Amino acid sequence: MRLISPNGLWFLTLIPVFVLMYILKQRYEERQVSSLYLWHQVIMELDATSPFQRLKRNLLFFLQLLILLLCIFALARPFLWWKNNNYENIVMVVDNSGSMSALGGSGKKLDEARIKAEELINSLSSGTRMTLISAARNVKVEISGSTDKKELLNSLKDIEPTNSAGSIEDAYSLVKAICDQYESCKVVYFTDHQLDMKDLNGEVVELGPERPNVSLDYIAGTKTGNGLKVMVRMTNHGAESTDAELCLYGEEKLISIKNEVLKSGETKTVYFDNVPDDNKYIYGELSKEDGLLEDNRIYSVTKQKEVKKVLLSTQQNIFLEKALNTLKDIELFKTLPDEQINEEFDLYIFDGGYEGKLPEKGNILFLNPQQSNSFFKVEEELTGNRGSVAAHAVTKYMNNSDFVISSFNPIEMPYWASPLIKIDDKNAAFAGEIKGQKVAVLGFDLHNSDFPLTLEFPIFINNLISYLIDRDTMANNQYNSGEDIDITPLPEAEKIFVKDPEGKRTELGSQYPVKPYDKTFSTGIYEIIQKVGDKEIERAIAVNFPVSESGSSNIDSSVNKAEDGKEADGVTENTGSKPGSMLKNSGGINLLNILLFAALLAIILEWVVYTRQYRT
Amino acid sequence: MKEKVFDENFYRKLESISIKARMTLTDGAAGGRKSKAKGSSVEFSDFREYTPGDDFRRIDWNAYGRFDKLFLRLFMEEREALLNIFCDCSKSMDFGEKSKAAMALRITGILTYLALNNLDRVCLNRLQEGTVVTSSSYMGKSSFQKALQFLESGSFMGNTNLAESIKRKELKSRGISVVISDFFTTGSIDEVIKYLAFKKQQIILIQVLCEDELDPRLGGQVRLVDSETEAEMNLTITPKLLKAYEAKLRGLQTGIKASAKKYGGVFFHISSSDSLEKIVFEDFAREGLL
Repeated sequence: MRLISPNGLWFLTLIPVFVLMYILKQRYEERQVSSLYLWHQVIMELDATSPFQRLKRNLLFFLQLLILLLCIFALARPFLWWKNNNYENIVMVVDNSGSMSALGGSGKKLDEARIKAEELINSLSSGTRMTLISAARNVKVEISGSTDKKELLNSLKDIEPTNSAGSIEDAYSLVKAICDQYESCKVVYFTDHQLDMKDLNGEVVELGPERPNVSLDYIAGTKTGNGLKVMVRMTNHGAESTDAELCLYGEEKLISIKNEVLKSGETKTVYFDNVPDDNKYIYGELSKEDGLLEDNRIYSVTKQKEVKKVLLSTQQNIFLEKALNTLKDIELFKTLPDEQINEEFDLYIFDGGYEGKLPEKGNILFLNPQQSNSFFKVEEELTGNRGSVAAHAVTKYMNNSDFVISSFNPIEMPYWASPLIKIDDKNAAFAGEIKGQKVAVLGFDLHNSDFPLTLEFPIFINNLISYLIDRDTMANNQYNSGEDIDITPLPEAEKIFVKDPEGKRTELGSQYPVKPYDKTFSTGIYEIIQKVGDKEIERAIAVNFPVSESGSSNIDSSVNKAEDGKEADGVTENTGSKPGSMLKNSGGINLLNILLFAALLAIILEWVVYTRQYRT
Repeated sequence: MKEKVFDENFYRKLESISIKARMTLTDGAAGGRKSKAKGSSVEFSDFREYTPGDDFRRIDWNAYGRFDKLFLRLFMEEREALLNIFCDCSKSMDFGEKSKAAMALRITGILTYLALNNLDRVCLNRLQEGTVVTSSSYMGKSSFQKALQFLESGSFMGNTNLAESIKRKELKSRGISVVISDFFTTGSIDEVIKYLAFKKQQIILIQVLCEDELDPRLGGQVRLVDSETEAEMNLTITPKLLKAYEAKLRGLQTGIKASAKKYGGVFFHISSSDSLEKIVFEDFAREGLL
């Protein structure tokens, strides 16, 4: 046992004062009686029969002394060591990923974790070094090696739910590193995940039972003749079948409601037809409250800014024209190579030679360029060979491509570009960005290759155009909460703001590269506002709750993982916390409350004795 | 004494009591009653033949003339009883909300009145500090006021030693002795009883207690002061202590009662807050005084 604040023992000096007061207090009420004759006999008899009579007469004094001692002892805050008296260091890992927002036993699991962690902190002795880690998408050390309980409790309170995906197992290496620097260390995880402690010494504090939960996992809208066709996928994570009322909203207007019955573990896809396409965004919502509220809404951005204008300058290129026609969200203009270009376009495609001045604004795609220009140098024509695809965002999904190019003009690749297609170590195609202008070059005539005949060609063109004009298909407008939103600023943007669902605007630096926006803790529609002159160009982004945090699925998978882990190293006995288990090895017992309770009992006892003794 | 002992109220009660009650002390010992013992008196009872040794002054010579035989005239002896009342006049008696002393004096008064009414002789004795102050003996109703004056003249002072005081009293003939006291005495009560029995007294012991003595209303830390000796005693009153006190009091009473009974006497206790009627018609009647 140890005294947390031994200074409280100074109050022991009160005891002589108390005794003195008691002695001084011994004032007798003087009463005259006719004769002491009987009283003498009574006292003689009583003294003879009970030797403790003297003590008994002072029972109140002793009780009061006991109360005083208990109070003083309580002030000294004695602390009784429990099992883990060897651990002078404790590492607490609090999971604050999205699933911790779910309701557990008595409230949100994160709150439950906070309460349990608080209990643990309070039960630790004063000298214990405590480290607090929060683990969501990112693992963050909130406090390291502190002995100040107050500080720790404060930062425990400050741990916010993040709604982000994240596995607490990612914290392992950090926790391991922290533990390794101490001689003896105990790790306590507060999480709803079943996790493998591996070689760490510690335990997992399980939180609350799983509540039934239906989540909305996916939403997508496709343009059809009559507006949008919207698809929503939902999953019942609960153990029992349930009915779900799914409402579809366009911005804030209710568009449609569908009722579905979901069996346990079932995933259903619901379609809504003829959804008006004039809404900036749509969202689906489950009207019934369940274990996890955050995944009952899912957002999707439908309408983005105006259609991009693309100018194709070519004699004739049927392959390219067909491929471009599949892109619904661009407006294609055609011109001949010898015609002057007066209008501004978002993308210029120069097929073959072009005599005019190259545009200074807008992105450019060169097909089979005949001469060098300010961007690159064209070399002598070479006999071709099998083309190989280099790894690039544009060449996604083209791993299996197999095509041959009969002849090509190798191009000396500038420093700002990266290769797309190579033939015998020579660059046949590349793409890159310089001074806000994106430039891509294909150094061969499509007619000299079987590339347009392959399956991958339309994908390639689609990716390439998307890359060049920032089509929304490429620029992601769906994020999970907790993820960083990458922002590619417009070259002319002066200021960039992000407006979160609560309407709070955050200014981001407009210098390139822009730091990603990372405060996507709440779900909803975020708007990225780029200020160009007097105009504000807005782009909406939907941030949804990560599917992986929605329910039992992640627990099951991690159970499997944990079991696998067990089999792998076979010595992880220290994992086995059962669901709902309490902290097994609390640091000890703070005797404060017990002492105060005992003091209270003593006061009650004293009162009883007093009323019994002095009842007249 | 604060209150007037023999007030108007007392006389009124005395009147009604004396109408309803007569003293029926045992064996015709009271005066004014026919005694079984034959003696010299004016009231004729019987004749019997002379036997040698008889007082020949009592021979009925007229009967001898008629029957030629010696007859003695027998007369009822009119024996007057001597009622000795010993009243404890220690300081301890002058205690209680309703003073024990007043009650003791009133009882003495009633007994005196009833006795004088019965043509008995009454002798009053005040016991104080081991001494006895004896009145002259009273006879006849007319001396009742004198008796009361004697009672009122004394004060309640000092402590008691019943045995010592009573032994100082010369008891020449048989009679009735009534001792009125709280019996919180230093000397032995047994000694008193034995002495009175030896002097052929019929013994009547009346214990007068006040409410505070019968059921002490004490609590907490008290310093008890003896009214007689000024002695002090510090006590923490507990229920157990009170119970022990009660037991002690009962023990004292049963002890005295048993000793008295052994010598044909009676003992009973009354409370100073009882009414006179209750004492006379219940307590006295129960103990065979009336």
